[in-house]
Amino acid sequence: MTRTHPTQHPWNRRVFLQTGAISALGLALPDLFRARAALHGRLNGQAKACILLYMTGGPAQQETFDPRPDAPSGTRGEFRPIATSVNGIQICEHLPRLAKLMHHCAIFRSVWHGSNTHGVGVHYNLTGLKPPQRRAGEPQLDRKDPPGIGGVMRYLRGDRNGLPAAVQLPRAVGDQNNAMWAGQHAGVLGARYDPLFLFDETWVPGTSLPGFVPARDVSTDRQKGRAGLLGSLQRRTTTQAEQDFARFQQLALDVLNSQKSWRAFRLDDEKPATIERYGDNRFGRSVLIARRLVEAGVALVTVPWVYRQSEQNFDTHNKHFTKMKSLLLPPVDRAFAALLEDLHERGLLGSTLVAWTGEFGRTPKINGNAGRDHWGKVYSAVLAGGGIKGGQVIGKSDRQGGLPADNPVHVTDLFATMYRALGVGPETEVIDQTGRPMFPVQGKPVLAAF
Amino acid sequence: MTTLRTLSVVGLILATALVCRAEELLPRDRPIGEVIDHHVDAKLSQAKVKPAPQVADAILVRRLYLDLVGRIPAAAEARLHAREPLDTKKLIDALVSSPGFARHNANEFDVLLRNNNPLAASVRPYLLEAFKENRPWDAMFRDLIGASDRPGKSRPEAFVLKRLKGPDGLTRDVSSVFFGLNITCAQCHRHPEIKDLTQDYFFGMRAFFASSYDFHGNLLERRHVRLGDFRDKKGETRKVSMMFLSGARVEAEALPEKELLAAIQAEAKLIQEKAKEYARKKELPPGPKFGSRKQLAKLALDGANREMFARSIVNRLWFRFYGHGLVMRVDQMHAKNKASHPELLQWLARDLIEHDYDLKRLIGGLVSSRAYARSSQWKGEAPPRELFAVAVVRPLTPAQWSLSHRVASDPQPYEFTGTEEARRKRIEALETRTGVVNFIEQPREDFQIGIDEPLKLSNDEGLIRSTGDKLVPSLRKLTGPRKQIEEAVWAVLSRPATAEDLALFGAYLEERKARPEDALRQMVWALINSPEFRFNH
Repeated sequence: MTRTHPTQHPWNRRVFLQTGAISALGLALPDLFRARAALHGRLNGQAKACILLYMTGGPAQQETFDPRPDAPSGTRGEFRPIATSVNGIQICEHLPRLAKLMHHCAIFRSVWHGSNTHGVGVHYNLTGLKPPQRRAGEPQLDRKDPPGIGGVMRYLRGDRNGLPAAVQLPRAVGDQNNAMWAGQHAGVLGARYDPLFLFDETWVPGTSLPGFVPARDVSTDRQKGRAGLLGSLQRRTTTQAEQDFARFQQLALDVLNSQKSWRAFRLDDEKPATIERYGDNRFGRSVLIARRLVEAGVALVTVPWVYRQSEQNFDTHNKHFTKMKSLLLPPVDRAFAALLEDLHERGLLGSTLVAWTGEFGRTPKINGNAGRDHWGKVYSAVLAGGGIKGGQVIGKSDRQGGLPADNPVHVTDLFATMYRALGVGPETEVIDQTGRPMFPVQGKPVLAAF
Repeated sequence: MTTLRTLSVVGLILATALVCRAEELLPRDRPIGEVIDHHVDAKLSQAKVKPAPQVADAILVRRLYLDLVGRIPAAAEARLHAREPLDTKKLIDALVSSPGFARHNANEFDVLLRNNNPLAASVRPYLLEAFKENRPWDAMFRDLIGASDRPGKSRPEAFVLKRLKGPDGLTRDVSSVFFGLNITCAQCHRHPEIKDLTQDYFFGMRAFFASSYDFHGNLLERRHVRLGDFRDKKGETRKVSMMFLSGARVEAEALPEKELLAAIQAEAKLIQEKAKEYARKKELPPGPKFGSRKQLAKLALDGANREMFARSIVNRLWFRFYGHGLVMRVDQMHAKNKASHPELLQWLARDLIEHDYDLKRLIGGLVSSRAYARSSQWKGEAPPRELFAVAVVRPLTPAQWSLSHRVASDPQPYEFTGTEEARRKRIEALETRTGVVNFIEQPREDFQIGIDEPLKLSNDEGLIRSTGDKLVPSLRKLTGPRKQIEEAVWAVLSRPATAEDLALFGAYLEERKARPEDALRQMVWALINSPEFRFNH
């Protein structure tokens, strides 16, 4: 595997074609703005890419990065804290691998947004923005929504090397009632900036998609002619839904018909030991693919925690400690730690931001079913790499782990910090589908993190 | 033996409060389509929005075919309708009376009943029978929850039987599908938006199925069961009793604990014995006289509660045809979540109840409004969906896509040749042997197309071969590219070819006139892969 650095590659041909086609297709002014933003979008953050590990369900801060051994009884958990590679920082005993890597990590122990609703928390922690008011139920994907960080990065950075700038795998962030919560696509920016979603449940990450035979790289006349016809029909679409469909159809065909780009999704040329190091399971394999995608030039990869049934996510209303200990923490510890080490060994940690978060934390109080419930008043998040100064704890929760006690960091500030690492500031403007400008960074970056 | 007694409890009524008294609604005898337009137009003028114009006839015909019989009109049918002025009412009547209506609704309801779980058991054979005989929706509900004594081999009660291993999922699906209220949140904590929706509701609904068990594939009920307790979040033990979503409870006059345990043990022993002899004797253990699933049906369909049942199906069907529910989301129909057109929803629910839960009448009525027949084109930012000012473009379902793909690829059986009987047989043969492909995503509220779809369509040799397999040879028999293009556009897109089509495909065919077969194939492939084919627009 050759090591590639994203910035060393010129803009690929497709981007130029898109911009060159503007006058021919008579696109409106907003498209021109977008195209200009794309061309001028060399972002000058130290991080060139970001891998977002998303813990669906809302992981307990007490049983991960903010242990509370002295909490009053009824709130004190069963696990012990352990020492880490940094003097004075302790984390949960079931994250032993990560404990050795704390010198790379900044732990944020006072993140908050205040909502105890999954959909709201998911939206906050994938966009860094306040979700719009909904009439009923939890937020569902809507084109009128603010864009997720993947959509923003795809908009600002543009696609490279035949790969879309944002990818999410191997599943949507959702549960048994909501297949996909809001905040995961590009929202108002339009479907052309949606991440590529690889959600096939039958797909073993790292292998070919079932039934997929990649086409030859050199198209025959037949394929070219046929694709050209389809392109003409796609361009004639007038409704949003049809245009969105056409774009996704084209994106999928572009990526998957190119053997070179698809290679980044495959693990054939990884050593079995490497796969083992990340964990040979859907989550571990996906995190390893995320590293490969970053090497191949993808700007933002989201890897949500995987599970088959809803009781296997971090929404641990019951049997919290059993599930955390046996089911949830070990694979996360393994994959997260392997990713940090691997990026470090490859010299990529400085240019790759790794973020770990979930929709909220969990109640200090342990409920009647040995569970903890939703808690948006305080939770923990971790940033590493990409210019983040490791080995530090930012903010503090109170003795029970229930409220920020010091230096509260609103989730919009956490995202402003991530965006800053990626070279995106409060002044960065994006233009939505209707031509209106909007600013994806709404909070203040936490400068102490750098 | 445990006796059951319905308690009328003044509890929380979760169903949306009735907005107006019956006499304030529009008269009962107005046609459904007119009532819809009355209310939708009123709201549009209130919002000062001028709706989109009516859609072109050919597109309306395609829309009606897709919505009522689950496929595009074949070339011959589309052409026939184009020859004379369109009589929408006549077309709707013909379509809802055709065999395709039962087939399509069996597919649609099978998906509905699965409630987003692709692995849930199918009850399609039953649904097909039920729609063929136009079985009322309340009767279907009883059949499906195993509360009727309907004989037959089609096993509607598999809906419950196959979910017995996961009683939480069963509770969720019953509440959500039949009553429009997903109460899963209340499994672990209070509903985040309806504070009164406590865990009691979840466990109360689940209790209706507590005595059900699977006896050699038969859905039976035990006479004695201990409903038990659940622990709420505070760790306090709360007693479970059967409680419908309206708050109405069925209180079991339970035996004293000791006697109950003995009775349960005795019954368990009896069931065990019967099970041993079953292969030989085919005898079933006795059950209660009036089981708890029947109690549920009785409660849900009685005068006070049936409104909830009727509204839920009205809203689900409205969502299907209008791409957006009168209440959104369709499984969040509660008092805090108001309908966009409350009087309309109430009128439609009353109409359904008073017409014996006749789904055919309701479906035919829903698609007969002007609001349904609007164009999907809109310049500029579209008005809010709940105004129904413009038709929503809806992706085809896997079943619609599969059959439409076949009809487009093989339009010949639909031609009006031979006797009507011979035509019917040809069509039936084609439709029976057409399966449903697995790579088209079932559309949901949060629709995204799967990665499999573009892959298969461009890479799968078998699929590429079958795309237009019969259409292409018949196009070759036509003289001149113009006729070929016109016929292909009728067959795939169900409309006359435009000047743009003629120019685009004309140039393509001209360039490849040395390889006409190949060129026609590519043209048909591109048409079938186009967004225009993929959506009901």
